[in-house]
Amino acid sequence: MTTGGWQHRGVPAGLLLITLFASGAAASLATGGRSDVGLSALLGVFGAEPKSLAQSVMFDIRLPRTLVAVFIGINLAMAGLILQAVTRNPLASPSILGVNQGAALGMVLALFFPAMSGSAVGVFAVTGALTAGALTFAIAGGFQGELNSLRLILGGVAVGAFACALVRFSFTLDDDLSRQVVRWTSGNIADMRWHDVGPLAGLSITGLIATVLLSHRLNLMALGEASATGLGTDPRITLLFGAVLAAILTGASVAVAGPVAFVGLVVPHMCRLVFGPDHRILVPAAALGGATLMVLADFASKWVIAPFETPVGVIAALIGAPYFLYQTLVAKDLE
Amino acid sequence: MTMVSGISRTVVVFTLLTLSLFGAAIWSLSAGAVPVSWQIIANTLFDLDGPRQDYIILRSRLPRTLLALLSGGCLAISGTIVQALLRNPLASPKIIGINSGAALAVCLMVIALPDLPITYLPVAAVLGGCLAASLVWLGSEVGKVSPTRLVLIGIAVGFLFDAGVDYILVTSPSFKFSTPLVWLTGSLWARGWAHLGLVWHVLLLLAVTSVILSYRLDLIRLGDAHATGLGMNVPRERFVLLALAVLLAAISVSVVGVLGFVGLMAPHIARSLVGGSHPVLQPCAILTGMFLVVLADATGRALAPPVEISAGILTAMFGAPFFIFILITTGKAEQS
Amino acid sequence: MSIKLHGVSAGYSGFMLRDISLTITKGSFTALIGPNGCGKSTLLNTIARVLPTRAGTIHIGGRNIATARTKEIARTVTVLPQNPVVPPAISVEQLVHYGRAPHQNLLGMRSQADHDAVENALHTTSLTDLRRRPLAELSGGQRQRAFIAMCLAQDTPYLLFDEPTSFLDIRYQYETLDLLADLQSTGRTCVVVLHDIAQAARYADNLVVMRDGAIQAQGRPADVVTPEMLSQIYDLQAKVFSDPVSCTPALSPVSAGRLSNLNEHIQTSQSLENPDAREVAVRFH
Repeated sequence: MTTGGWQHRGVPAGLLLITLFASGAAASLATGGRSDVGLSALLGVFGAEPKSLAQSVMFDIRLPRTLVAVFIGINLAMAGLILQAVTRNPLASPSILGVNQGAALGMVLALFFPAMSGSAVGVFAVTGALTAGALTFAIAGGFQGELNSLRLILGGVAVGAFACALVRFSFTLDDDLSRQVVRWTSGNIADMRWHDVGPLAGLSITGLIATVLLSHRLNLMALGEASATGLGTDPRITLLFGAVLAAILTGASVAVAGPVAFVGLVVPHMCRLVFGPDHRILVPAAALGGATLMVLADFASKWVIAPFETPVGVIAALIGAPYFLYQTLVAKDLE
Repeated sequence: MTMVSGISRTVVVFTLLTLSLFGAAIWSLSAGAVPVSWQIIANTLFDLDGPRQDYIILRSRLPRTLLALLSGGCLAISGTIVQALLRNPLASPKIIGINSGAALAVCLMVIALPDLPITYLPVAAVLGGCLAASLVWLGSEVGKVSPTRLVLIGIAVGFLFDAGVDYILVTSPSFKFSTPLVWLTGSLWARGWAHLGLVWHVLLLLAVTSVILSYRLDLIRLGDAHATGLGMNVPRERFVLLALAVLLAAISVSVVGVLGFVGLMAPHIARSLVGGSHPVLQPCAILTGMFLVVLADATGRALAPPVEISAGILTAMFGAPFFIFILITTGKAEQS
Repeated sequence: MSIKLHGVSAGYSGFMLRDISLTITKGSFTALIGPNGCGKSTLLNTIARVLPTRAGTIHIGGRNIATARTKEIARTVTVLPQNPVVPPAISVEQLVHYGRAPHQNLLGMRSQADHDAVENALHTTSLTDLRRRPLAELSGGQRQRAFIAMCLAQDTPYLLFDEPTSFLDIRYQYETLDLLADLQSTGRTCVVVLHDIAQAARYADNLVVMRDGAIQAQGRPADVVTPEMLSQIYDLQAKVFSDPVSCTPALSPVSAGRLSNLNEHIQTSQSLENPDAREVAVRFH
């Protein structure tokens, strides 16, 4: 359903988004603990050897951090976009459906077994995300093929609350761990290095390609399950693929940076407003939008230095929660 | 299921509930890092001859148990009122954002004004709770939207305040960190006579008022048109009842922290026991709420002494599945 | 002693009742009719003070509803809203007892008069056997009767019912209207919003026809229900004839297109078999 209007607006809006992304990334790279390290340090950072001090700060600290922000933004925006499409619910997103909190719980479980490290933590987070998502779907009646949108949200909140209670339970067990968990559960990407970037980048790009391949099916989902079936695609398969993909993308982000809430809610929404309902355009737009929002949030988190640097997840929540409130106030089809 | 009403069933339910509450309270006095036998409890409480445990019982566990009873009862009242006002069995003080608002205010106070005495804690919590409740209220165009959307707006306001709490927690230095954290998980740890003395009179007054007015809940539950037809000034009564619910929940939360799901579970359990007529339902919900909180607190102490598990964690671990259970069984939950 | 509206404006932001003046005499059975969205429910709810008036005054039994205490008015007039909320885990008897609220004190203590009124209401609506059943388990018709019983227990001289027959099987529709007619015969004043014009004409002795938030016609059914009114208010071409049982006006639409031939055929055959119909048609045209 690409109407002319969307296409008219799409091109300038896309250019604007790209500009916004570029300036956000530049701002994120230019800001940090050392004020003497500026964007100029980026020049020749890949070639020059030996590196100047500014160049190594840029290469070893700032670049990986900004890249992680970019890929987390892509992951969460994709997860949100998919979840909103398959549930046909504008409020669906990883944090609202409890997927984020499930991943956090899986992650905390992994933290409690020090033997687990590296990729095992990621596996735990993805497993937690999948379990929570499946539970929420089951509560909303998703497996019977009749998804009730209010029950979806309320079920997600309950699953999230349950996972949250268990995460908080972990605070009482070990004091040192509790602070680590709290800082981590608020979405922190301050200490990212290159070894964090690699796997995340791989997953993001794979996820993005998979979502692009899925975009036609996501368009059909919007017509309702009956019509989608009538057009020859099995909506249950779309639902299954989409949900698993969303859980993997969310779980991977959570494993790296902790749960960053609301990016998955806000970005697909705004992109739909600007670029229209066609997922073949929406998928790249939302990916770029997610990356933009995250680099801006990262910039803000480095810039707003209260006594401490504010984790990017908290910044995202401070942006996203009012947006969610606004959305519940204006959304039409909730009753 | 035909409704077995009649006096006899109600009497049996209330007797059993009171007995269980008694049992739970005694267990709460005896359980913990130092187990105390019931004879010693009796000796201490009633000033009898024989071995006693004055410090543990009188200074620590008795006020704590009383506080659990008080807060449990008040949260239950608040939940009953909110469910009747919103005509939604899924509503609770937490769902409409009262807890999160109170939490943010208390965190702000503890972190930003650490020198303020704890006397101001309830005041801060009430302000925060009222702020959240009025946001929900305004968002619903002063109660005009459907109960379903009101619940969603409440969830959104809750998220908003939770984001604020997170911001405060992660940006504050770590030595200030543990107090709000314990409080956020909803715990009666280290609560004593001082806390009880702070709130018992206000809570008792509010609770008695609510029980007296519970009859109005029956009418307002019928919908605005019916309630007006039956001679009720709906906007005024709704405001009064909501104010009671907010005050009860926020003040309880200011002392015992975020004890989630009690306000959700208690009215539900009570409704299945004695039916939906509020003059009977309200007292039954109070007893149930008391029982739940005392039980959660005692269990938290008894599970793995000397480590204490916060009561709020236990109520959430049972409450969240309970909520899901209601969600599934009510089916068309938005029976508005 | 009657219901008097003088220059009343009221309604929601998008929809307004404009300058309505109306007198409903005591002991009458008044039906408010009109197409969807004409304002008939709004008018009823404004009289019932569920919606506030923006201008004008409403007096019920001599009391100004804007200034009198709402509890006092509740002893004079009862309201049955269109889609009553069904509270969970409430028995029929408990619901009917709520009707006594305006006669009770702050604590809702029950007197002998309360019990008598509830017994009476249960008996009148034939719900005595169902009194202990949970409301939520009753059929739609039984539930509607329970809400009517609640209104009866309120024991008021004026009754305002908003589409009491909607969602009911046809048998219960007539049972409900018969019940209202019985109440009228005991001297009560009934004001009822109805959808079905023939039903309204059959039971009411006073019809109020509304369109676009204003009263277009008022009077006895035989004077009001005419083909002209139907075409003006409802945009419907229809023949009006006398209902063979109640001798009140009933109607049959004249459809355009293919059906019109069919209609003509039916009409001629009916007129031939039923001389009354022709006579009535003459009388009403």
